[in-house]
Amino acid sequence: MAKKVANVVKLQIPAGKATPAPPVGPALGQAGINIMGFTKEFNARTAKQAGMIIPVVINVYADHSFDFITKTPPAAVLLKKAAGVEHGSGEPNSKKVASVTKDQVKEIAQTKMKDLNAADVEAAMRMVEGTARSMGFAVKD
Amino acid sequence: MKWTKLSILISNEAASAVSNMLEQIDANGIQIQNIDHQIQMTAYFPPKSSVESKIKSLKHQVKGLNQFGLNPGKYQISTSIVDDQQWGIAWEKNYHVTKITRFLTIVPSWQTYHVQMPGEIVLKLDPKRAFGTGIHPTTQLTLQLMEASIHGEEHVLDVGTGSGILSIAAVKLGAKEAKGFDVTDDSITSAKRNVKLNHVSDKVIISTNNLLDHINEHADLIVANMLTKFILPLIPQANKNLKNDGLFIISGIINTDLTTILDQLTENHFQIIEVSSMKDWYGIIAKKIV
Repeated sequence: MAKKVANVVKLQIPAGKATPAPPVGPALGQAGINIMGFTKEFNARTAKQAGMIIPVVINVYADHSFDFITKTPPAAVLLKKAAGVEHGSGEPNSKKVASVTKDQVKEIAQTKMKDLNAADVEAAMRMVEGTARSMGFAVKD
Repeated sequence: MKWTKLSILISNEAASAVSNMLEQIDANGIQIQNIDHQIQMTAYFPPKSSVESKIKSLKHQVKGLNQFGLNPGKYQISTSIVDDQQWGIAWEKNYHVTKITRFLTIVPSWQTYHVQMPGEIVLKLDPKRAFGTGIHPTTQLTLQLMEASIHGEEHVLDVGTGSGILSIAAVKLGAKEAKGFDVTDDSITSAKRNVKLNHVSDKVIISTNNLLDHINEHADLIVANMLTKFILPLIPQANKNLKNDGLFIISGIINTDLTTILDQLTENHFQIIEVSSMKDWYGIIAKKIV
């Protein structure tokens, strides 16, 4: 019989580098699961993606055991990768630091559609494009 | 330590942009919750991290989201101060007596327990914030492999001792002495406390050391329950610190890393004696060959 999920915790944390410090500590402590057990397991599974921010969804069961799934990096991280830059602009209005194409936006929108809670690809594209602009990226055809 | 907790409740469509803004102001990770068609993101900032100017800049950026085609909706930004003492030990209320092997039983230090069968060995533990509660499959695997390998009077090294659980188990299983090493203060404090709790101070020595750097021992058994990135550099050091025919018990290996570890062991003159698994984790007994 499938175990009963009592709580779902969503985090976005650096791969391979989870520590009991916030946000991991307070989020998991509150859910009553062993923080060190989680960090060990998360770091082992994401060691190869070190340097990336990874979304992780943790299912906490009624007996306080847990399991988790990791997802593709957030849209902003994928945008930086696509543009080949490490940081967005501090002044996105006046200072553009990179550019991405509409095709790249579409690809990221398709990858992240479910995680963005978007109704359709167009809605997801609008979110990804807006995110890109808010980071000081120009979006080109 | 007091942390500033920053929560922002915002529209779904602006969430992705805001999560990037939080990263830009050095939030080392965020928690995400869905609340009534909106997204709440929570980040924490340590003391003296100029939080106020960061929050000011975040508010300014969120206000400007409309010009990038993102509607932030009716958003809320709030802050509070939280103390980190509570969450580190909140899980303790779910920590109970756990039978690990036929002979070994883990008992939280604040619970009373009476031995239920002849030969049963009780390990009293109060791990606080250290690794090694006995609940995780990697610790259970290590203890099972140790139980099968310790016959009496061994000299044991325990690398990455955490709560001290493996050193304590080693001497309770019959080893002559155990030396436990770790690098974090939380671990050293926890291990020393647990050594006392189990009345094995005459047989277990806990000290600060990175892996087996600068250690020259002649051990019968080395145990290590750590992630692959720490196990790999430890393998040649383990060979140097073992007697001929000495055993090396490794755990903490996730399924995808098993081959890498096995190859590295063979390259460093170890013979693989046993490979066990529990869930996605592997434990290995290897023997030093000349």
